[in-house]
Amino acid sequence: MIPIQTADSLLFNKPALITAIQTSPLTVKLLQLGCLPGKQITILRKAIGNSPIYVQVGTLYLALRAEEAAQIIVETELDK
Amino acid sequence: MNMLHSKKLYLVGNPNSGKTSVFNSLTGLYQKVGNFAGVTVDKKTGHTALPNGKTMEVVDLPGTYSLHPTSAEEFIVLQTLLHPDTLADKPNLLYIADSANLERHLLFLTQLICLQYPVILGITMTDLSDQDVPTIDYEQLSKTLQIPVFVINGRTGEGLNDVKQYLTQQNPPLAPLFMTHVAGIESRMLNTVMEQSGRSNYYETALVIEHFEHLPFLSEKETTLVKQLSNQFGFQSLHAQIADTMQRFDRIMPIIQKTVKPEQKETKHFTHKIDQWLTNPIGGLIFFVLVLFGIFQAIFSFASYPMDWIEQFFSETSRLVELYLPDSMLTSLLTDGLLAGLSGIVIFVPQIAILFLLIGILEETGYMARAVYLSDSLMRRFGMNGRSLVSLFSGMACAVPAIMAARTISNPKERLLTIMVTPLISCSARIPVFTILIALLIPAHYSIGFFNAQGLMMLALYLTGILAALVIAAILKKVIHTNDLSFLAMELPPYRMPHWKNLFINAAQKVKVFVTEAGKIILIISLLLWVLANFGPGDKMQHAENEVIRQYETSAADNTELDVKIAEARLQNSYIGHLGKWIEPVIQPIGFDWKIGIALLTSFAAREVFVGTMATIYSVGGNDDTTLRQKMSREINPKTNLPVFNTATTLSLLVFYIFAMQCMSTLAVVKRETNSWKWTFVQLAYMTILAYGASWIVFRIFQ
Repeated sequence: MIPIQTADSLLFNKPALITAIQTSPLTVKLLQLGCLPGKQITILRKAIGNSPIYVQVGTLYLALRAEEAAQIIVETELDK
Repeated sequence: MNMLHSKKLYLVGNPNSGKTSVFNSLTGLYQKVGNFAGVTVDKKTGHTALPNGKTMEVVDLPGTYSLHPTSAEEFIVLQTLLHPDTLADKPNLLYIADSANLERHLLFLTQLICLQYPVILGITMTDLSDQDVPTIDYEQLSKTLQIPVFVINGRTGEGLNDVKQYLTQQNPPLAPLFMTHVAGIESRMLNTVMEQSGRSNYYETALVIEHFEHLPFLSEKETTLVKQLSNQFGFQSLHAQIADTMQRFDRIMPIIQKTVKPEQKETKHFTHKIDQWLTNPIGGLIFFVLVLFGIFQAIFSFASYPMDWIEQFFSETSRLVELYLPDSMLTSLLTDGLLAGLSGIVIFVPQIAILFLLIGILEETGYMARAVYLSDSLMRRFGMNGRSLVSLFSGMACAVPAIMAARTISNPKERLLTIMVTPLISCSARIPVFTILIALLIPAHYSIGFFNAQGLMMLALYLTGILAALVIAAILKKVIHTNDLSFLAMELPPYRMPHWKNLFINAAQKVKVFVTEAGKIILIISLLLWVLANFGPGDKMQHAENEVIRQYETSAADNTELDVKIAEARLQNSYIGHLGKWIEPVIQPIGFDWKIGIALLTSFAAREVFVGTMATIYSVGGNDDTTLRQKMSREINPKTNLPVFNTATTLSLLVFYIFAMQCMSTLAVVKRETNSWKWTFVQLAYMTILAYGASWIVFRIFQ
């Protein structure tokens, strides 16, 4: 079985496909912001320290903390 | 139906959709800013003239992503739209959406359609050529959603006349329900609630079931029913909200595919290019710190010119009043009470206006979101966010505009913490107090290495304040518990040019709110202090004055010297003088005598008043710091025969002025911004205890 991959573990500039959002109090927020299953997500940058990442989802730019990005389940080219 | 009274128009939409520009374009300068009931979220209302001669009230609702809220602003929108009064009124909704991300904007729109509000869709265009500008088939979109669609531009007002023309209809047709099936709620449960509470709209009922805990206006009967049915059916609100959102997007996607043709550009976006520099982990942070220093510089030094003019204007007015009116109590009330109080309010206007213009630029260009992103890992440790840094840095100039700036922080806890600790940052009003006390402590020519010792002391005082602010914030973060979700997840909007009209309107509103609301409290305290300083128990003041006149009439060099002596005697025998003596036992353990006590009381108006009061107590006429310093250093305590301003007392006093609230204007603005006397007094209490405790320790060590 392939382990579940989440958006926080993606490599820089390597796009992946969102397959689902884990259920948590933030799920609705992530969906509202445009993190929808079927959209492409790419990590563009990281801020200093251990936390937030700067991602592109579709045509939008979002800032997410690592633990927030960890709720986004993704699928990369390799998984297919 | 009342023909003279048109329905209201509510502006709704996502954050960054250009809603503010549309609101300003519709209503012009005549807007009212208040708070939504019970919370400190701006409620802006205004009026717009319709082509048929009627006027329509326009209400601007906070930017929201959907009716499943995650922030204080979003809860306001849900509460407003589900409130029985709003449901009965059925106001028109003008939904503002940005053409660039229509898909996401349609989520909230379809929820509004399901609530059976008459909705108009206004699509705005992103101004920068940076974005992929999609081609939208507006007619098709209008046909599919069955609501009117207008292309509008908040900056030029383009398209708004068509919207207004449409609004002249008495009863605009309602769109059919976008969806008739509720996801995530069992239909038996939904039907039971609808029947028992008499609601006819299924989506309205679904929202009540999902969010009843946040809807204070529901009847107890309905709340109990929902609770009971939730248990019975094993209902989970979170799952229902997700299901509703997903189901809507499933319906929206095909609509978007049919009506929107995205236009892909080959070149990398402008925003992307700028952000390579501005959000660089190191370069970006350095830039942010430079921006913060720039803000500080602007309100510290640029604002000082208009502030000088304001001071001159009021002192000139005072002088003229004293010149033309007889020397009486009424004249004194007019000049030292009323005019001094008014001047104490108006003096803040330049700083507030400049700070909000600058914050407006940061917010409207989209830079602020980047600053929050960059500083998140640092600031969350202290329970604050990047916007708090703007407040803390501005606090080095003045806490009053800095605390008002905290309104841009949407998480209530982060905002409260920012307000609580900002006054600990040393502001410019502390500088005159620090200067004179440091001069008593350290001779001007002393230096440590290359550095002037007085300068190093000043730096140490500033750093102590900053450190205290961070420590207190970290403590309060642990002590204050709220149910708010702590998250960063947010949009980094594309960079765009600020809309200048929005910036000026916003700054003007902030000034107006300060002058009318915080101003009231400042004026009352100012008048109270005047009474305490100008009246005394019995005829003691008069006696003291007569005594001085008898003693010095012949020996005084001129009238000025006599006036100075009289002022000293009057202050010492006034209520405030007596209060100073009365609190002496309390302040003795931290090394203060009753004369310092008087100065502490009077400088509650503003810290710099300390210097003026000291001058009065020590009979120094005019603004002569050197003479005052000499007199203070020569002052001997009659009980101990030692100098009053020894190292221990002076240090203790310095420490006291770092921590103590000592500013009625800050107090007034905290009351207005927290909308709570409780937090205002919590702050006053903790700062006083901190100041007293720290002074006590310092005094013990150096005594």
